[in-house]
Formats: sequence, structure tokens, C-alpha cells
Amino acid sequence: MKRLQNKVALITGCASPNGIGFGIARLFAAEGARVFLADIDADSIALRAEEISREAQDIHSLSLDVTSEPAWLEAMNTIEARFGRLDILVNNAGILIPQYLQESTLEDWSAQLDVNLLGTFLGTKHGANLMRRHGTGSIINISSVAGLIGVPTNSAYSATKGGIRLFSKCAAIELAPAGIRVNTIHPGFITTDIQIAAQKSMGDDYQRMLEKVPMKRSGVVDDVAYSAAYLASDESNYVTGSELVIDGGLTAS
Amino acid sequence: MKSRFKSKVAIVTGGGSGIGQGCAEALAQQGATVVVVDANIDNAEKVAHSISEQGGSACAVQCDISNAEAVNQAFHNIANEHGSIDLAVNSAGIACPNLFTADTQESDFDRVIAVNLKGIWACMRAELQQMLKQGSGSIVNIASTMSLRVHPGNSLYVASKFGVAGLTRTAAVEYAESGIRVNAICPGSVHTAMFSGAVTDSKEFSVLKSLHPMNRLGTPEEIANAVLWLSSDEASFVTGALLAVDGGWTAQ
Repeated sequence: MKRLQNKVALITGCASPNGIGFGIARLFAAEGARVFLADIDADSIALRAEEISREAQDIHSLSLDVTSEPAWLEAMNTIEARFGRLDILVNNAGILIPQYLQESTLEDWSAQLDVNLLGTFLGTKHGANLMRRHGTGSIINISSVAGLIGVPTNSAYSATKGGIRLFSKCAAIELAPAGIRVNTIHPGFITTDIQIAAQKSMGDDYQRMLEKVPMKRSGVVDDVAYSAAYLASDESNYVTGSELVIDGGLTAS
Repeated sequence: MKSRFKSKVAIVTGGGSGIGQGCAEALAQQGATVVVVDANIDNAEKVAHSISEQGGSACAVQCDISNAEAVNQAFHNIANEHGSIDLAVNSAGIACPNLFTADTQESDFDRVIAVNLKGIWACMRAELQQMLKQGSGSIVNIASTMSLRVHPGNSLYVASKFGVAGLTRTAAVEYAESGIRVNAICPGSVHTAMFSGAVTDSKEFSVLKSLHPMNRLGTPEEIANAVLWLSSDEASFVTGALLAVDGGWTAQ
């Protein structure tokens, strides 16, 4: 039996072929889960779902603006109508607009707060409502090492990721009696499109940060996906309100 | 028998009971050859025997980990006999008498620190020396929620477990480029003989249980599952992590 056999999973932010969301979706599908890939980019998400469908059953795409509460309600209705349940929710959708504080704008601040933090709040709230009916579920919120330590040009992003960390702990405590677990994953330098954007904008600062990684290298999307599989599976039944750091030792130093 | 750790040699200290036993059994089920290290050789042999009976590969070694010279000797022999030490789970530990700090005794301090902190250091040192020769390895220390939070009446245990967190993170950074990963699990209260021995009062038991938002204790298997993940190649970018497996205790 596969580790996520027959579990119903929703993962947000799956449009990028090089991103963490798609990596998680691929692994969950390989581990037997029935997966909804969600993103605001409907065209890309359909392509991603099709790619996974070549090797797995019951893979669906879902157009979802994580900042819209009506959109979340509709998504939950769709999943309930199709499978009657939701076992795993990964709130992965996120954006990074790297900027030094003095150059940053209210518009960019709000955009990051909306997608990263508001999106995680809405997802956790409505995902938990559907999970509650079966008295079981695992919610995984993707934070960042930027939710644990300060990173230049990441002030708004860090505010959202630090917010996700403590929001998730509160949710974990409140939802424990309902049998729903809530944990965070904190990726460090992982080779994704977001990281390439950060590399361009941060210049020397980026190189200085990378050199601080004790393993002296970036991680890959699968490193994060495996940690999500652990938290999604019954192997982690006693784990809630916890934070899993996937960073080559960056925050240990 | 699954094969996640096929042809890997794993050392589990404190493997004769409790969390260590759970880890030894889980690693063996995944194909590792498990060396069950315990101060109590009868317990270690029982666990090794039961693993063998279920088709796994295990042997027992007696060692008091608070004696660094004994650890060196034992681990040297293990490496010689099995050719390598690929995975290490340092689980051996003891509880402390439930006393507020002003009432604690020097002998209790010495004993708790000797096993829980010096013992982990001695094991890590021997394991790291062998893993450096190999250029690879994974160490998982069994720390505690008491590495992250405090509990009244447990100052000696807390001090020892905060120390384990420090050893874990420092060694992780030191050997990150040497192919050796060092992580720790921070379990909440777990159904073990050590827990039952330390918490005999039903009121204290209820208080401890209620500290976990899940309102229950964990099982050795639940801790072992986290150890399996951290020991596996799935966690190859994870080092210096302190992973809470505690039913939500430290989220509060």
C-alpha cells in the first residue's frame, strides 16, 4: 500500500513546472493520492494536471484565486461533490517581490500579504471545515526560512512567512480536538523560479546568504516534497503545530 | 520486510526499551542491520532476539554511554564487525526526580547530565569519527520538548535536553559539508517504561496529558516514524533540524 493511498489532496500554487507545489503534487500522486492541483493560472494548471495524469489516476486541476473567499467556498464544494472529503491541504501558493524596504511600495506589500498570508488563512479555515466532517486531516502550510530569520529584500515576504508560522501553530492547537493536524515547512534555498527571481534582485546579498548554508548548496524541489509527504501521511499522526526546516543547515547556524 | 535501509548498519542507543526499542524495530523492518545498544544487556538482547524472530537483522551490545572510553571501545568494535555505521539514533536517556531546583541533589545533577548530555556527546563523537572515515552518515538524537520548553520540577532534565539541542545544531553545521547530517526529534510525553516510572501520580499524568493539544501521549512508533524519515535519503537537505513530534505541545 502506498503512503497516501486514496487520500484526497488539494495543493495550491501548482502552475510553475519548476515549483514546489508541482513537485509536491507529483510525489503525492506517485504515493497514491487523488490530487487537485490548484492555481490562479488556469491554463498552466490544466497542463500540469495533464502531465501527472499520464502516470496517475484521479488527477484534477482547479482554478483558484487563493485571496478570494467565494473561490475557496466553491473549491471546497467541488471537492466535496467529487469525493465527499478532503484529507490533505497544502497551502503553497505564494509570491515574492524582492525589494529593499526604502524602495518597496504599499501595492507590493499588500500583494504579498494577500496571496501568502490571507490565502493561507482562507485555505486553512475552509479546508478545516471540510476535513472536520470526517474527524481527520493534515494541513501543511508552506512558510520559509524567511519566516524564521531576517533576509535582505524580503521584509514583506518575511512578514507573511513569519505570520504563516504562528498562524499555523494557533490553528494546530484549535484543530487538534477535531483530529486535524496543521504544520509548517520552511524551505531554505531551493532551486525554483522564485529563487531565480530573488537571485537576480539580491545580487551580492544572495551569494552571501548562499555561502551561509552549511551544506554549501541549494536544495531541490523533491527535498521539500518528501517532507510534505511525511506530514501528509499517517506516519506523522502525533505531529501538529510543528515546523520542518529544509535548509541544508542554514537556520541551525 | 521493506528495503528503505537495505545494507545500512544502524546503531540505536537505549534500544532495549521505549523510544529506542521502537526505533530499532522500525529500522529493522525497513531492512537495516540494527545494533541495539543498551546499559541493560538483557533488554537489548530481548529486542534483538525479537527482531531476528521477525526476519530482521539485529544484535545486542552492552554499553554504559556515560563512560566515554566504553563508548569508544564498543563503537569501534561495532564498526569493525559490521564495516560501517551508516545511521545512528541516540535515544538512551534517563528521567530526573520531580523536584524544584532548590531541592535538587548534586548526585542527581551528575547522573542526569552524565547520561543525557555527556552520553549523547560521547556517542556522537564516536559516530562522527567513524562517519568521517566513510564520508557519509546520519545521526538522529532523541531530544525532547524539554529542549524547547520547560516544565517545573524538571530543571536537570531540561538542562540536559537543551544541551542536546546545542550539540545537535553545532555538529550539524560542522559536518554539513562532510556528508553527515545531524538532526534531533523533540518528542512530547510518550508511553514508555521511563515515563511510567517518572510519572506515577495520576494527577501529574492528567496535567502532562493536557499539555498536549491532542490530549494524549505519543507512542514509540510515532517517534520512530519521524526517525525513519530523518534517517532516509528523503531528508538529504535536512540538517540541524529539531523536529517536534509532540501532539502540539510546543506550538503553544
